[in-house]
Amino acid sequence: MTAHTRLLQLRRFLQAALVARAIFVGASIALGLFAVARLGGAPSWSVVVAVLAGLAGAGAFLRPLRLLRSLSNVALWVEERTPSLRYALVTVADGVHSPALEAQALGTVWWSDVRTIVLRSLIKPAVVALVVAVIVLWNPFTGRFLLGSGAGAISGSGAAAQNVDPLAVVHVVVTPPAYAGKQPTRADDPTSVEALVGSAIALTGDGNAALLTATADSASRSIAPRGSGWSLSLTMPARPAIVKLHSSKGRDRLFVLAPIADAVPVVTLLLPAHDTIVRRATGRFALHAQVRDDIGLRDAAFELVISSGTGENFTFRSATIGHLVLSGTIESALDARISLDSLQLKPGDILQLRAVARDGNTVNGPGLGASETRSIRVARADEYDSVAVDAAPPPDTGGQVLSQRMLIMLTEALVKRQRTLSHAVLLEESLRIASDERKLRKRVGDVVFQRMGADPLSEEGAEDLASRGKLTPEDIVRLADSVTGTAGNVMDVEGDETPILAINKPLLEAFNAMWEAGRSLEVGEPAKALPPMRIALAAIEKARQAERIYLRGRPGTEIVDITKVRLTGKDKGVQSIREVRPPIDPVARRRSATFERVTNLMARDPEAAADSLLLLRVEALTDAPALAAALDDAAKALRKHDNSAIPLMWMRVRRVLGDPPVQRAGIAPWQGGLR
Amino acid sequence: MTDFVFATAQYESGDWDSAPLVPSNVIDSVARYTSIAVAPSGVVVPLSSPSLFRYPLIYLTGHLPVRFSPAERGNLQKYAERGGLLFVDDHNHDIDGVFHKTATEELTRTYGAIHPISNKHPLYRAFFVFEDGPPTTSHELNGWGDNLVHKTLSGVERNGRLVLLYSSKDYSSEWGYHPENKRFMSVDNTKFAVNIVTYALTR
Repeated sequence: MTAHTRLLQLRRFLQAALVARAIFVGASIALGLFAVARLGGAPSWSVVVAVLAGLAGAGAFLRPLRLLRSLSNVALWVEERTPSLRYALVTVADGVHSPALEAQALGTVWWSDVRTIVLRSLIKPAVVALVVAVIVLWNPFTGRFLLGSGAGAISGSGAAAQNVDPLAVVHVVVTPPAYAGKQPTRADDPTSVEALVGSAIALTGDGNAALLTATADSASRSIAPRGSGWSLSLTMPARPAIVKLHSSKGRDRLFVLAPIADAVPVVTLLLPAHDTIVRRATGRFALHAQVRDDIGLRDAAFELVISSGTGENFTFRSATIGHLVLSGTIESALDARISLDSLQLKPGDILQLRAVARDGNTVNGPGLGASETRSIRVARADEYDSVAVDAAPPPDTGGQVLSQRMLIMLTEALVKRQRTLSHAVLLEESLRIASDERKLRKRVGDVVFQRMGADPLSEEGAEDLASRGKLTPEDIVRLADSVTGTAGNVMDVEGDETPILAINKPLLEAFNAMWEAGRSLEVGEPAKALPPMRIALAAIEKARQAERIYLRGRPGTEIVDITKVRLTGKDKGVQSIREVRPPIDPVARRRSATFERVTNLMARDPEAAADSLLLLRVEALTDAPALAAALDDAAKALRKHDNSAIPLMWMRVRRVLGDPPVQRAGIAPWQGGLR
Repeated sequence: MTDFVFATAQYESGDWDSAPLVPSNVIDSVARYTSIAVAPSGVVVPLSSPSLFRYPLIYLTGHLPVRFSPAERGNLQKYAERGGLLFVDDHNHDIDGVFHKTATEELTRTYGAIHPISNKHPLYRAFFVFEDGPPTTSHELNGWGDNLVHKTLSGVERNGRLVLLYSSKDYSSEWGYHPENKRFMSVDNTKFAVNIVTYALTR
């Protein structure tokens, strides 16, 4: 390599070194001035001044570049630092070429020494620039970076971010939980965020994140830088909450988090359509239900509960049938069939069934919905006369029995017509009534025998009983004894009258009176039959009332002798701590008072009034949704300074609160136009 | 002012009339210890009937599964809004029992979540002072039912007062005797009933 070539290389190196030094110096000046301006609270245009000063300083340090246009100046600069060259290099730079001169110019290794000198001269400005940059990026007074994080913060956009109000516009992106299967939604500057519980909420905005602090229900939340702006991530809570963003520029913003609860499935049991009492638990029947959910169903089934027992002793069995996996379906039908035989129900057992469905809520669910319950009861033998049972087949017309009251009416009518009738006709009609009286008498005999634990009398037995004529109580008991073979034990009691006779006495009296009436009717003397028929009717009525002293569903009424027991208790209570119930709902009263204060505040500080409305809304969301909705609309109108809407919204809030409308001078009047 | 009338709830499912002697016993105790004007006999009121709103306290008990009809549920919700107190007692005294499971489920659907009541609740000082909360029943001490001594009662409050009082302690059995028989008891076990009545009338 010739000496001339080496000189050309050195000139390019010196030019680069000068540019680097100018950059270091210019950056030091600009950053230093910027740091001083920021700490001193200088206005935004001071940034421009700092940049211009830096450029000027850098320009000043670039002036030596013009000296490097001449290669002789470069050679002289080297000769000054390497005297042993004895101007050989300068001579070469001037264009003189000879082997001796070339050898002298390259005789000393000057090119590495001068490069070292140049590099050393760059150390000081580089260090200074680095120190200033650290000071600018890290504020030792606040412990925070002045321009955010990252080396690229000191840029045009970073400087601009310092001047943007971070709460000027707040964007909200709501991402519903995965099980809902819905797309994210976006809104700008909302007063409230309404979303399903568990939704991801991202609040974003432009400006410096370091200037913002956030709290959600008084718990502080961290704000993350996001490009040139900020972001705050939240999850929709189960209860309403307030999010407060505070800017160091002195501005606050409130957002209401209004959770939308995932409704539980609505289940309608269509079959069986009503409760039923059956005599025998046999056969199959269909179950059909309709299930529906607002978001999506997971599964559904029929639940059965079988209760058995009486009094204090009950046992229960439960089962689930017809399980159906629905995989997010909104609406579906549920069907199953059930066999009563397979359940092995006994008299007195109650089968209760209902349809249930679960939704797909994985956040705070699953929600469980249930239909109305249907009960199917198997009747006991002893309650056939007091419960509604399934429709029985039509009765045999030949076996129908006229009531004693009806027989009396027929007999009275026959007595009235007696004079106009021939004896044959009178006897025929009288015998017809006698036949009905005999059937009724047999029925009374059946009741008495059933009470003794025996089957009803057979036809033969009835004929036999009818032919026996009038019976004494002893005859009846003997008859029952012959049928059951057990009545003797029941009779083993002391006293003049056994219990079995006592309870059957009215019916026995009726039985005998009917026999007497029948005899008179059979000989065509209806007038003589009437007195015993009336006695029989009275006896039947007496028996009916006696048996219904206590029916299920109508417990006996105990009358307490208040006068006798009044204040006879030995223990004394404490009466002084009892409190009088407040006349009106204290919550509503407090909310009305708060709204009054907000109304008074509105004229002085609309922003604060809007925030107060939002705070009131959070409280009302839990138990007064109509009031919460009205408060949200009022807050929106207030923030938009919508003078036309504000009075209407206020009136709506008052109506929901139950307060009468009030005209106030403090409310801003209509100013015309719509925003 | 009309006399206080003790009302027993009649609901369409279950055995609502399983404790027929409790009303007269409670009425006797109210008269025995307080000057509250009380009717000498109780009434039975269907839960679906508008006449429910005539009574500040309704007593509901039973052994069997409880399922409210829509009319019964709607009426109970209105009853709570108007300040009535529904006292529900599990006659099975068994938290695994079907009455407890179904009744709490239905009541939750009707009233919202049911929470344990603090033993310092004003209910326990409404007339007699029960320092340890609800008095223990003999059924709990004998280990019947779920073999537990329930430390607290449960309930739902609205606007600072109880609208639902739920007991798993089986007061229905504890108080299910003729009031004349109180003279055989060294300590009257129906005094807590007086607190319930007094609370319902004064809070």
